[in-house]
Amino acid sequence: MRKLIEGIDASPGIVVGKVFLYKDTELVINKDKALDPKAEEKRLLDGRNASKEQLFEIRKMTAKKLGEDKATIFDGHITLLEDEDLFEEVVELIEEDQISAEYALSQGIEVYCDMLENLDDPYLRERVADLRDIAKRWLYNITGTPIIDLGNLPADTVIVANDLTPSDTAQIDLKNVIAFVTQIGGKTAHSSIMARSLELPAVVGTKTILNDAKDEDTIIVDALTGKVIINPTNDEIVQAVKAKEKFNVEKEELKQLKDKKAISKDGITVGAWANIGGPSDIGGVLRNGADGIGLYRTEFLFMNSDKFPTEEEQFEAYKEVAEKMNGLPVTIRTMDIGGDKALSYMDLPEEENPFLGWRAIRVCLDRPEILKTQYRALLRASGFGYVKIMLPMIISLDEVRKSKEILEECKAELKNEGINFDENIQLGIMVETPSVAFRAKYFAEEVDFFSIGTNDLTQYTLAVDRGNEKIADLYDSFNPGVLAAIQLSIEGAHAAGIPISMCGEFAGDELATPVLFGMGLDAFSMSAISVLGIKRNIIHLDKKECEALVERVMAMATAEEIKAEIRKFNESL
Amino acid sequence: MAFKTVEITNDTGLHTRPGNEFVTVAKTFESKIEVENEAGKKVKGTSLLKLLSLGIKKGTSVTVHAEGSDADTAVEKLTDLLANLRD
Repeated sequence: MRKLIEGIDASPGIVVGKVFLYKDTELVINKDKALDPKAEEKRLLDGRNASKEQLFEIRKMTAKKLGEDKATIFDGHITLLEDEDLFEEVVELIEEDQISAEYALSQGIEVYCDMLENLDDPYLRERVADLRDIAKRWLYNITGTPIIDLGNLPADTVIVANDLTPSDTAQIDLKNVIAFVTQIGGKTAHSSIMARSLELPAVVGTKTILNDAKDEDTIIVDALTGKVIINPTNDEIVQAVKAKEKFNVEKEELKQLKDKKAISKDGITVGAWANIGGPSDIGGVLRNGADGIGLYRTEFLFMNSDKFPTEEEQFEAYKEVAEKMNGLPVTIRTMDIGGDKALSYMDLPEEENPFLGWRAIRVCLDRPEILKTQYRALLRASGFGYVKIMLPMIISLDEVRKSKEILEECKAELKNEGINFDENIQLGIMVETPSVAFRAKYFAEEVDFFSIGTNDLTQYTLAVDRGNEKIADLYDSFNPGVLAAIQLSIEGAHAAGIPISMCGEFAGDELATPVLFGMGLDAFSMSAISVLGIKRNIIHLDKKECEALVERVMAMATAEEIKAEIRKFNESL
Repeated sequence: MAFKTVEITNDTGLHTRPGNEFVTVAKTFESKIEVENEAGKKVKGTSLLKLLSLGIKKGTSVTVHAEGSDADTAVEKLTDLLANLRD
């Protein structure tokens, strides 16, 4: 029976293959009492030695397949396996309770799994997978339960499992296994990270796949959208194969574009920038050849903390990004808290309409000490790279002027303290409310740049809550009203001679590129993975043709007509 | 008896791989090594399991204690390692 399941796209790609259900042979734990402790201790130790040998083998294989760096994780596994404290505690259980080695070990290990599962840091919490991986191997070896060999599977296999442990992933035979799908797990789980370095397509967190799939079922894994289809129709298979070929060709083409600039056929250069949430995203930014940061969301600094981050903490984070970007522009947005983003340590009142409430710049201007701390950190970081400051949720020039005054105060303070910073640091605003779009020219005369935040601009222009699933189909940035707001903003910016970029989801929407380019957008800022695709689009475009397209679509009545017209335009290229 | 406190600055904190580095180095000293997290929980520095259970993440401070003939060197080396963890 055909079944469509949605999960999380953990590693991109699309394949059609056959299901291999990776279910463990059930482990039988002997719960008898009054066993001979000496014999059980020997089983415990023998199981450990066997596991150690296997882990050494896996380490060797990983070093060969993925390089020495990735293999070092298994050194950690061996250390955990040989942890003296754990061993002593388990031996104690065996002696005191006279129970089997496997029963004692499963109890002993559970204590630590509990501890790790209760940590507040999500990355460290996921390390419990390492521990369970090791414990499982050890228990299997003690009881003589066979461990399934993932290194010897038929061609075109898609592994379907509850979860894959690091050692599972390392053993996968890449000649025959073409993708995996798991029931649990997220994007930062080990198996997901490994899948990306192996370039093995993977969909994780599907919740029900183990109930839905059977061995040998035909399966489509679309790890571009996170969709999995079990027993697809012939039509779906044909489409998937096409999509796969397209993906592979594009992947190769895109790799060539990494070091190229986004220059149109008629020689107009636009910025291909990336959005980030913190210093750890820079690797992806550089790998994808972005030539700047169009949006650094500083909220995470505030959200991943139990108090307001200090000037020093903020400075370190901003400085790291500025330095790593090595002279390329880094646009840092001041705190955008409120709306759907709450802080545990800040008393944000429950509001009827949080998106229309006390958030972002409104909070900052009511509590200027928050903004001042952030400004000082930003100014200090500007001594280490090309930093620009961006204010969110602006609706009036009063807000802009007040924010600028506070910035000038901070500059004066730093000057007095003899601290080095960029005295001409640019201050820009997000265009995400209709009020700014309507009056763009006036705002543009008082700030250094604009960046259109299409997520909120769409929500506020259409009066459509972007979190409400019931009206999700109404939320469409191709709605002519939204496009008009974008066009007004771009015209306003250019009338005053300032640059304008876009940092919402719409910037990374490949269908939108010709229209945005035709309207005169100066830079596109998006998730790092979208950068190469948008670069490629720009390289194939001609400004004059895009301007003519804009004229045509802006005379149209509905989003559907507009999208159809753009598709027609793209096909003619 | 020697001790020193440092702040963890790498993004992913003390997880399996860097933790293994720590334990490997800790085992080279004669001194008894203990590691304490911000909440005051103190564990043996040569047990990777116990170290992981401390949940040492970015932005938190960690104290290394050492007792024995090479306590000073041990504390210096181990805190240096913690302050410069790779992700």
